Amino acid sequence: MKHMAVSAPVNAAPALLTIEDLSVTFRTDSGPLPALDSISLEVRPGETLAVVGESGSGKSVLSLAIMGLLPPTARLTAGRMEFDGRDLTGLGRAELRGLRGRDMAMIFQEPATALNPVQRIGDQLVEAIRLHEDVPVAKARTRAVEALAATGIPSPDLRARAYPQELSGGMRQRALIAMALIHRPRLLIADEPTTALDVTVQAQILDLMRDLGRDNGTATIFITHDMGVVAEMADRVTVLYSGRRVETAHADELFDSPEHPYTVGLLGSLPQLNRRGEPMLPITGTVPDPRRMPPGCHFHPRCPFADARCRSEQPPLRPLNGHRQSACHYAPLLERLGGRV
Amino acid sequence: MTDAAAVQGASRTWLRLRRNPMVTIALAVLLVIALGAIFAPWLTPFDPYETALRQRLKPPGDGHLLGTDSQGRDLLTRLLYGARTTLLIGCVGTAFGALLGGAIGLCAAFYRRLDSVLMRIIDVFLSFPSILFGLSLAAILGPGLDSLILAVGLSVMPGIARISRGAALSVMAQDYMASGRAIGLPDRRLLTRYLLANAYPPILTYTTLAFGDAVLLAATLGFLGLGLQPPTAELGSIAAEGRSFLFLAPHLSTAASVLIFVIVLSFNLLGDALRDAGDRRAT
Repeated sequence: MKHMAVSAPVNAAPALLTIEDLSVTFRTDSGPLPALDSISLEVRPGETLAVVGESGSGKSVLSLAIMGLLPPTARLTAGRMEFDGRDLTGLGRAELRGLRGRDMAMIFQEPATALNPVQRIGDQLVEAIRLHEDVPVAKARTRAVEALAATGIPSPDLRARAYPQELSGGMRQRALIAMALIHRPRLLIADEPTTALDVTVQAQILDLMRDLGRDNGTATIFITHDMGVVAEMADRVTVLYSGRRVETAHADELFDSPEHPYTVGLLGSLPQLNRRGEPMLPITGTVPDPRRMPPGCHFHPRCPFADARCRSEQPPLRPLNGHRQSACHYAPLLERLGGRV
Repeated sequence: MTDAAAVQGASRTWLRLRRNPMVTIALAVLLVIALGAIFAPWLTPFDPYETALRQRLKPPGDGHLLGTDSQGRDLLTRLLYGARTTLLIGCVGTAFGALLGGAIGLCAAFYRRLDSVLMRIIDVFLSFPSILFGLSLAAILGPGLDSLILAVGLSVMPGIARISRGAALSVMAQDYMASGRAIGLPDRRLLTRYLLANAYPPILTYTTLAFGDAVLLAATLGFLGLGLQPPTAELGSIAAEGRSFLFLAPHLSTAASVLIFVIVLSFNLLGDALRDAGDRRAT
């Protein structure tokens, strides 16, 4: 099988971003609300890591935490984040600002609202360029138009003079991508960059991101709930459920043999042309309220395989063959649950 | 309407304003009064301070368009110079209050740590009725242009601070604030080009409404004798002076009061129209 051949990491370069045991808690009127619980991950240069989960799984909080953009009500309660050997949590505001936009950039989910509505696209790009590089305005403007052109926006010089709301959603997302990639960042965080777009535009944007990422050797964290997009983009996948990591694997392994019932459910929710006629298997229920976490495995109320042990004992994240990890008592699933999967 | 349409919204607001006849009237009236006040020295042949006791308390007409006051000074001249003072106090006071209140409101929304401290201070300011506040401030600081401007400014400031904070909070929730931060923008630019540039319309509307209140407060302080001292012409103090001759020469107080009324009404009409036109729910 293909995935057996790649049991070593996708590439052997040292990790660009390493996160260890990161926990984030929100302060609310009704007490502390855990959003992320002991998340660990690493991304290497040129690699795309997909972070998958439903809404409420904490995936957006993770991206904001890396960028240092958490709202003041959120607190890092534990853990370490290291970017290129520098401890991100220990950086001052000015140092963080120097990293943002230049070394690490972010693409937001809603292109409709992620651009300043009262500033022309070109001016926003020029501002982004001049923040980190000492270039004259005229030169920055030329580069801004080039950057727009590189994302495939037709007549980029005209679009540079437009206000965000004069562009279509796809074009706005291209402009945002142009802005995020303008300094060739080493780390790109894309928070559901295609969710708000039409399917045809989605494919174009994904192609664009992959091409630009490959050309620049950018490490990408791709946050999504769309397994189709994961299949398209990811080298490795981390699945989050209610703020915890439930599975980490190489993308092809994950699609071949998911090792957590939640991943099985996510894949079962994906329509597949080669399984025509078979029913899709949606996951029943919703993500639990973090204030009323079920005891034991957080997923057990929605898990078709759950038994007494799952209801009482929280499964730790365990290594499986080599570098895979799963937080299910019964992983590897095929072996333990056999015909039931 | 999405926030992204704010720019088209601004031009649509302007279109709606122009279609409203009340706006045209209010603007025209204010323009005439303002021009009259500014160019008073060139518009009238009379001196506002030179007394002519033989000409005192003349009724309107006959060389003096609005008659003369108890010192024989031309009333229209006094009113023009008075409007000058009153409008100056109102405008500079409001501008000062808007700058201070706007800055406080934006900072409270932007630096959430400061929010509760700043807003509790604003609450303390708001708990005094503005007349009482202005009165005590003018009494403490003593009469004078500076202290009047300060009193007027500080009494319009809390309302503007609250409106600004509300407007800024809704802008803070927008993705572009986070994406601006994500490209590494410093706070200074986020505050001005992102936060202020998107949050200003309701602040501007409220400030226009506050102009009317400020002028009224300035005139009230003058009327109560805490404003500029005689012989300085000021609309409130002209109205107060005329009180002694209410039966002998009713035009004195009447003319000054009507002028105050017209100025305040015009500002309120303008502010209301701005608010209606800027209301994104109305179409």
